[in-house]
Amino acid sequence: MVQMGIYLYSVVFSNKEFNIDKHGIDNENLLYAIDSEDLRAVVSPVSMEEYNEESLAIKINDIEWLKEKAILHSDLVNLIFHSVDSIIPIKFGTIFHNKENIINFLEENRHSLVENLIRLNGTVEWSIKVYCDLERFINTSMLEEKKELLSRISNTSKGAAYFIQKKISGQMETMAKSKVLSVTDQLFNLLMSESTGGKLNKLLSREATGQKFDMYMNAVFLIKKADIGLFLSTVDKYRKENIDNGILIEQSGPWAPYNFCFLD
Amino acid sequence: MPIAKSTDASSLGEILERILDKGIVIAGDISISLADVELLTIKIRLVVCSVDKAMEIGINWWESDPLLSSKAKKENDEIKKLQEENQRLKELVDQKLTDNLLL
Repeated sequence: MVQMGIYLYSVVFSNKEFNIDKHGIDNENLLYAIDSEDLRAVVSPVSMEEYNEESLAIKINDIEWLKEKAILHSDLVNLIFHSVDSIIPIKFGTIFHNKENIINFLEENRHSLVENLIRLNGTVEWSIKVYCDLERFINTSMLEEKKELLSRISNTSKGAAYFIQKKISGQMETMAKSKVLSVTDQLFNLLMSESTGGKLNKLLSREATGQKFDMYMNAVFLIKKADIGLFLSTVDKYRKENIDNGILIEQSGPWAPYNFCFLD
Repeated sequence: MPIAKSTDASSLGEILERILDKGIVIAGDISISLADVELLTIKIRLVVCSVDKAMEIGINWWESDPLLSSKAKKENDEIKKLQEENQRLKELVDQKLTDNLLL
């Protein structure tokens, strides 16, 4: 008899009947609900043989396993997200030994969970990332600055000109980066004013994104469903304004509010 | 220059960024908790997994990283072998020279 644990996907209110008919992360057992008064944990049974601490630590280094399970987890949270008005998404790999422990978790954190659910009601999360092809940006948006700097070398000797050219390249790059950042600052502030909240996350390296160009902004926004249209049209407007200068604005969503729930 | 808006790598990246790193932080009876370094490594390895797409946009830095490429690892091992042999031969030469001096 294999010992079973309980894998937790999200916390929601229990006001609606639970009617999601889907297999959980193990592709075998169905999702179900554990209710404690008005709070509901959406869960599925998992084999403790595969989902114990040691086994998980090993499996997480198996790229194929992680890829499959990460996508499954995300899809299931997304499914739950679209079936409720408010959701608290749980991190990947959160498992409880038994039903009592889940209920204890709900009760011990009741105040915070309810606060989050109320605050997040009717909201979605969107990610806005900005990348920049700096070379292209310099060649399209810094012509005045380039001219000005180059005019400084017109009357120097060939040798000196070489070194000054190098220095100028460096200066151009620094100036370009700062100009790009002022564009992203402007965009962030504007989008903040059109959403319920926003947050800047760490910039990701090229290796982590697979992108050809550096990231200049990694922002997430919490938006009321009714405001999505305006928010996205603002992003679109910025995208069009920057279409030729090397600035790339990427959006992804709607997501459950992963970045906007906090447990005290 | 056409830039892919949503590569496999980037959608997978968006997923990982959320489910491994965000969401409410609670201690389940069992939780996967990852240090920043582990998280970054995982993200990179998952990006590398979407190799075809990456190659399309000119990324192939892993080909020279011995941790990520068997070809690079082989070359790395060969270099190591040569270094060891070189060291051994050096010692041999030194010994011979010393022997010659003593004669």
